[in-house]
Amino acid sequence: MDRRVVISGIGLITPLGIGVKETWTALCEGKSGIAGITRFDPSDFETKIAGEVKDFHPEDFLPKKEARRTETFIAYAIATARMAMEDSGFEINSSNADRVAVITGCGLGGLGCIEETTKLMEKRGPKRVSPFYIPMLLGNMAPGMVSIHLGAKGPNFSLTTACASGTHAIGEAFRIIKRGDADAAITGGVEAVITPTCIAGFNALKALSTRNDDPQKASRPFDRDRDGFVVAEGCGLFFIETLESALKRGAHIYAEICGYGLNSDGYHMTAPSPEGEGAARCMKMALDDAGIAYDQVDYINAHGTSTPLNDVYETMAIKSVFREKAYSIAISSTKSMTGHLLGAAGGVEAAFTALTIHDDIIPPTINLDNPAKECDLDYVPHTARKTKVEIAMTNSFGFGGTNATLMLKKYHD
Amino acid sequence: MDILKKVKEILAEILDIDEEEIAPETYLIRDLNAESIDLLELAVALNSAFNIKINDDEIFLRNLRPYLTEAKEKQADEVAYLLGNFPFLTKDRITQILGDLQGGPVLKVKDLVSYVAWMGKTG
Repeated sequence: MDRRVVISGIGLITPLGIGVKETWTALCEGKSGIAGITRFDPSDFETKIAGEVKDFHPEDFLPKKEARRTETFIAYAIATARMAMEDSGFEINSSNADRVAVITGCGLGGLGCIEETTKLMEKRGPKRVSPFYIPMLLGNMAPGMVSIHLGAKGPNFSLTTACASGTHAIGEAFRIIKRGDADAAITGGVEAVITPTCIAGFNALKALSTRNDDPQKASRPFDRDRDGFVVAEGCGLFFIETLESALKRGAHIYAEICGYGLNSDGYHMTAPSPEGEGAARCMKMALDDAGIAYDQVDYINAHGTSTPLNDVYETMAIKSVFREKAYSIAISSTKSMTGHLLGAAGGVEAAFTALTIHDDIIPPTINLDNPAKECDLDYVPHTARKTKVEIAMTNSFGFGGTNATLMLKKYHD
Repeated sequence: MDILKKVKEILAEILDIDEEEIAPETYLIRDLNAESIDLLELAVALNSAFNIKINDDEIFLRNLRPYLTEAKEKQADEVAYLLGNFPFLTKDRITQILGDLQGGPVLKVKDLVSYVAWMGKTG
């Protein structure tokens, strides 16, 4: 059974805005969503900046009673899923419900809730722990609650592969539809962990930028003066379905998902394998899966975290996969504007990649003032580029050495 | 502390309703549609607000009907038997409950208030 899978709905909640239009416009204008942390008092922390979602009101998407019992990442998932479904125009009903999957990725789940509850219990004892504590922290409560709200009764799970979670989720949903276990899916990544232990933990790893005095310049992938990533939050979800289903209902198609690569470095807990060997194998696997030659790719949405190691190794990996063509492929890291959404990154970046293909606009890598000497490819610095994009790739790499790559292309008959 | 006032506040918050909808005679389940998970949250909130350790089964009159069966089996006086198991209720209230069993779950807001007041006295 050779089923083609297309993207026919997108939902986004990011530090750049609530909604696809808000985020995508800001992204193409090269705006930064990074600012000082307001979720807690960061005075004692090395890093005092993050990409927080602004003006999100869960009551806009959920009954008030339920909003109060819903952890932020779950509320983001429900809200974003509603956007993607509305955008798709697909109606879930009794005849198709069990053919609609919800597959999401999430790196850390309800970390904020764990922190708050632990403090409360230490201070006031176990009888004070909310009955909603466990449902609030489980990563799979995101796809679970989405299915409850929207009535999707097909395959339903959350996967956890750190910063590759969103990409793996879309890849797995793509496979689930390909192999016939569902005909459609709501899929992507979600994360909301701008919390004290999260920031302290990444600080302890020396992974975060400490450019606290100039937040909008802090995320600067491929730049000489980059000093780590910036934690961000949000959600990016697709509604995907078989091409047959999309055509039958006359759906608007953003792009086609045509390849998925996934593998492991087998090397180190947090560092990428030397010269991006694992990442290169992953990109190659995705190209092969799509049946696309290395010289056909127009755009790569890079993992591009703005950490010293990632940006050099990802560049080396791209060079090893794309050979002489590496220098003429447009590459950008949208993390320069959104920050690093961790488990949601793959979801929002796949959405950006689909929009790039759909609109023929490549969002820039901002803050790339002085490219590092090892970073000598075309990273589309500072300003967006209007150019035809037929085939694009998006990369995500996670702690534990896990890698995921998706291939998207313009839809043609 | 005005226990009723605080209980009303907590119920309004948990059930997302107006305090005006809540009176001592209001039924939690019949009138306010409180679900089992709402009661769990309510217990935690009452513990926190009054600094007590609630026994969920007692405060929510959970084993009321099994106790009545037991009382019958033991040929014990129903009112006295229930009073032994729900010492925070008055004899009058238990008599009222016994006449109200056909209508559905009997738990009222005033029962929560009685429980909290009783906990306050007994520590």
